Amino acid sequence: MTLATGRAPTNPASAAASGGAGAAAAASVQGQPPEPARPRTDRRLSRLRVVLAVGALLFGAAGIVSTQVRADGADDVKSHSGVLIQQAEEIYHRLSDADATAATIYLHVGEAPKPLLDNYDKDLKAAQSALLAATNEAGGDSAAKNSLDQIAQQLPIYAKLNATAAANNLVGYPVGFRYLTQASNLMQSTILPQAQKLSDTEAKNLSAAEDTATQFPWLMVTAAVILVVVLLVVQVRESRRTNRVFNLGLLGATVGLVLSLLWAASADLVQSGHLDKAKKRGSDQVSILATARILSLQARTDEMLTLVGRGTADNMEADYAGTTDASDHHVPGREELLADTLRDAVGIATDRTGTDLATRASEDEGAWRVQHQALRALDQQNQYQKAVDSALGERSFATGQTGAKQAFDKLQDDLEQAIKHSEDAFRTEAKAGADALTGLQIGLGVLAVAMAGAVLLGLGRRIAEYH
Amino acid sequence: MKTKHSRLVRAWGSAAVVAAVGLTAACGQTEKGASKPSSVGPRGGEGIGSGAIPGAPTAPPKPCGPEATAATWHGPLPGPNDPVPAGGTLDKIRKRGFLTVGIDLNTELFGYDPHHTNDPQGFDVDIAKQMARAIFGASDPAHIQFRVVTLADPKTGEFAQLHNGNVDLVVRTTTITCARMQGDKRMSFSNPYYTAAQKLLMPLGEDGKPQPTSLAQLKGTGKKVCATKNSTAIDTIKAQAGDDAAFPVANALDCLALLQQDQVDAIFTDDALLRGMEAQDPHVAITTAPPVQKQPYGIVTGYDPAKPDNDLTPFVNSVLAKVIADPGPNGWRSLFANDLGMSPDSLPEIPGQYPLG
Repeated sequence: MTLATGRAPTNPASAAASGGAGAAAAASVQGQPPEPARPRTDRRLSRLRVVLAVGALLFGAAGIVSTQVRADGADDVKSHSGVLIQQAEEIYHRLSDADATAATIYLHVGEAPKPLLDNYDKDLKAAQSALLAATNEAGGDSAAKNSLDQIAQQLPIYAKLNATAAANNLVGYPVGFRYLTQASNLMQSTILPQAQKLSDTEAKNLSAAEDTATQFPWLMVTAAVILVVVLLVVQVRESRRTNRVFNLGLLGATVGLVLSLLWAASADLVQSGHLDKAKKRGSDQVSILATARILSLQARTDEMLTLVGRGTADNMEADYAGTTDASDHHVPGREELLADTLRDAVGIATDRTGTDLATRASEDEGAWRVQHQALRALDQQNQYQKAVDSALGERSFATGQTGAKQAFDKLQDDLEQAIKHSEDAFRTEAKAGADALTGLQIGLGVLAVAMAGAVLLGLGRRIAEYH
Repeated sequence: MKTKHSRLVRAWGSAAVVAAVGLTAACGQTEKGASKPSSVGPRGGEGIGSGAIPGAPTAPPKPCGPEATAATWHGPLPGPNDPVPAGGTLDKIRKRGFLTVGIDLNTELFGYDPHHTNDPQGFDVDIAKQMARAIFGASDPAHIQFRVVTLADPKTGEFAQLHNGNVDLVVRTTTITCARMQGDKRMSFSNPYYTAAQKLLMPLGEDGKPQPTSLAQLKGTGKKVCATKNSTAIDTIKAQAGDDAAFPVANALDCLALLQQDQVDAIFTDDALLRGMEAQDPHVAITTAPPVQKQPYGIVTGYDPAKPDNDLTPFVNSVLAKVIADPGPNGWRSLFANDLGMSPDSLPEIPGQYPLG
């Protein structure tokens, strides 16, 4: 309105009171012909001019909003959800590792070696830091907060049970093992499921952020379709009415619109590509490898508790190796699940390094299983000390001969590397995805203003021809 | 001392007499049980049905007396170099070169490995070593191997390792019960080598001395009494202290851990296990209340359905009788004193009737 008539006030009441040209313009909006001297085409063109210019600006605004939604999603992938899921996995991993380490410490006669004790402390501290960081990051996410609270409440109880187990073990009291079992039960059946819930929640949040980031820009496309139709219709009519084939202003605006769309489409495509890669090369891989790592730690806990239990914890070996139920169905154990997960990890690896690392981890797992079976056979044949040596990598197993410990450690190293590789890929792609939209919003704004200007100029010249 | 000794001679002598009669195996004992039902009815606190427990024998256990465990070796006990019947279990063990024994390693004083050095100690272990000594003349690690075994079901008593033939015999604080000798997977017991009694363990009283509390006195106090799940002890707790008092756990030693954390108030089980708990915690003690029920422990040998006349139990019984009579350092009294830290009040009793289970 203001663009069309220049100085005219937009309030009809004040316009009527002041009269004159302003009143005429205001009245023209209400469809009454107050000044027959101006031809109808002139008035129609004026109105079209305004509609087109506003349309160009609206299209710009729609583009900026659509891009903002995607940019927010991409940013969420890069920083918030991506970080939270890593923290959730850090908590899960550290706690599983602490539990496996506690059982390993218990198996030692007398005071356990310092690196093991340090490792246990480091795990608990790292888990606590990750808990704190995740709590800060979780903000208003009540599901995540609830899981974090539960873990934070149970963790001191867990640590205390393990401390009592260690104190009894040091003086050779068998009751220590019952404390160790209680601690491990608390970890495996109360704390870790909460960590799992947290990971699941964050995986869901990440996937929602990915969806938002790659959402189809409906608003912008709808605005573009309407605008392009109107622009084309006006241009066809104008070229019929005048002898000129092109109105330069309108043509400019159309070119601007096409440029905007091309720019947005290419930026969105690049961004979607990066986010797709962040998922396929990054988060999907990390998720499956992290699952494998946790399974491997739980299987290691089983291995240790079976040995420590001296026959009273054989259910732990069943947990490791699986069982056959009454109706002859095989219920897979942790080892089998681990092997399957690692095979899947090899299957979904997207690059050479990733495939190599996952393959190596898969081979490590096989080697560990062989060592575990050898260890179980030793224990069954009354060679308990040798079985323990294999599990702890002591005596002959400390030098040269591969025992269960060496095989397990190698698996952990390779899994660690594989996870790091995928996390790097995730970070790189998520950042590239977020960066892909840089400048697009400003560009769309500038182009929209330019399009509006072109429409005003182009049709302004036509209107001037009537005067 | 003299009276005790003559009582011992009487008890084991009568065991031998009964054995002569009872060697005609299972049919004999069923007839006996069936013909005199009134004289062998359940005693107080013992009438415990087993129907509610999954995996328990479908028929309730029949009463059984001393004859059920009384088989002894025909003729003089063979020394390490004397011939044994070819093809028998003893022959098999000799050819193998070592005896395999199922034990526990988490029961302080009876079967435990205090330093995780695979050097089991305890009364059960020492009794098992006497069996190896009788077979091979030695009980060093080359002649006896220990495997850890667990009861799959406390009621019917089932040592999978024994049924699989992975161990020759089991010495693992196992109560001789009629149910365990009569079920599908029945096992064969020796005469008792130890008489335990079910007692109550509680924190020391305020005066630092054991409390006088009995199980029945805990009724209605809201106190929790811990015992192994599915065990007869749980049934006894329910019967005497009320259903709410019973606190079942997977492993008897869990009870001590729970008592130390104030999650239960008392533990009710065999005094053999309770003594091991006392040894691990100076703040708890067996109460001075009289025992609820005697629990005779036996050495378990397998049960082969194709060979109902178990040929190992008679040998074990004869060796056991010799060990019990032996006044030397490898005799029953010395082993008891060394392992349990106290002189025995009496020799192991052969009861007029075994617990039904």
